[in-house]
Amino acid sequence: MTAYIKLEQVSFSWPQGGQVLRDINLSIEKNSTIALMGPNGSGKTTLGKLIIGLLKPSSGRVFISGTDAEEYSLAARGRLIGYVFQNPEGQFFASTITEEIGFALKYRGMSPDKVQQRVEEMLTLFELEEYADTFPFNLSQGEKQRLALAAIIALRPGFIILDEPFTGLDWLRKQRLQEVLQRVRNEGVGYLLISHDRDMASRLCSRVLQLEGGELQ
Amino acid sequence: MKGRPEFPDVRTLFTAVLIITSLAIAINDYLWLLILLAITLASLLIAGIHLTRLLRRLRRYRWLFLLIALAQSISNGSGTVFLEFQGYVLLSSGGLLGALAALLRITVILAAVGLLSLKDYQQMVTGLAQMGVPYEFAFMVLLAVRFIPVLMEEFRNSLAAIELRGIELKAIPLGQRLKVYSYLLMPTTAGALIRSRRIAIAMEARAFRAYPRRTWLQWPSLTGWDWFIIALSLGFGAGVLYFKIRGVIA
Repeated sequence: MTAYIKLEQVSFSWPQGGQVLRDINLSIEKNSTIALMGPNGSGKTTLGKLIIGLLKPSSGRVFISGTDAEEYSLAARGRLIGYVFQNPEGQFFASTITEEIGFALKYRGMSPDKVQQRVEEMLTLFELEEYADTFPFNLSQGEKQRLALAAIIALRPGFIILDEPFTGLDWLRKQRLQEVLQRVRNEGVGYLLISHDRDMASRLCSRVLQLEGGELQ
Repeated sequence: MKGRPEFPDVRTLFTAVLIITSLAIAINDYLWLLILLAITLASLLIAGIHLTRLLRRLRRYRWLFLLIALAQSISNGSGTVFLEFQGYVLLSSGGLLGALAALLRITVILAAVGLLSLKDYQQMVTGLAQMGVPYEFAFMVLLAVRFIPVLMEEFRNSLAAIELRGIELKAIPLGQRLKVYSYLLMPTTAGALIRSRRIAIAMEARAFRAYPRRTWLQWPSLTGWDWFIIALSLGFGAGVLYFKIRGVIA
């Protein structure tokens, strides 16, 4: 199977010094579910940001869908891979949940009827109907996580990177998010789950990667 | 509480910066602005501040500099005319000198403010309180200044979040693009409000303003050198202003 995301000898160091990742080689298929685990500061989030293009590798190359990722703009990468931030608040910019989910669809040329239909579908899927007109910043942490995911899933990306989506959630909320991710998987969308939660990772992912000291074990 | 005097004191730096920046605004004579710049750069070097930091800051504002220089050059058509278009003077000796003076003025101000980097946040608050500024006010102002880079970072993150939803900002028409940019104000403002509320709660939880008086970890006194620099700054400022009023300096 062809790799949807491929990293070749990718290393990353901060400009002020301090190597975070060293010679990472990784192949990810489009509908695979992979967990990326490792202690704090091991470079998990950095790896996710390198794939999506928020950071540039110090050396090595990233390929998405067979093309060198350098050739893609940030928006082009965003169309191929959905990225759910570690802090969901960081990705909200609309004044209601409905607008947040429909925002990118509208700007990507979808007709208003279809946007409405897709938004309603997402509100139902993520159990957010009752908050349709709520200000995103006023939601609870669990609801924010669900909204962040809904806004990304609505775009139908080929693959999703989720950065620590279970952080700050209680047991019940974790179960709910787990159900949502299972639904995502059932729809044939693959994901890279950056997490500390080993149980959740083994339940939700077919492959678990361990990152330690900037290297994949 | 008395503290060990540490030269230069924050009050000394504030006085020097206030005099230099005020003179930079008041003076139009480029030769005097050059003298002011030389004094400021010498002060930075003596204080051990690397000029590369200043250069980095100046580089960040290079387009603003160019714009101001162009505006000055076009608005001041005095002296020898070098370039003219349909009766409008675009470049003249007076315009060039005006542009030079404007650039020198901004450079002096930015360089002078660099002197304040000698002190940390807590020393600044203490210094302002020693100068009679109400503690709450000093704290608020410096807290706001400290948050500017954080807000800028948030603005950049929100922009990246929009692009990551697959929206090619450069490809959409200007009107729509401006509308998208207006969306960025929402998370930045909301983020600032949420953060302010959290800080206010954290400060009150640590008994901020619970008592009419507060203790200070340090309350440094001025050294002889501090008094000398303050007197020198005030004397220099008063002297230059006197000559400015008398018309000796433009």
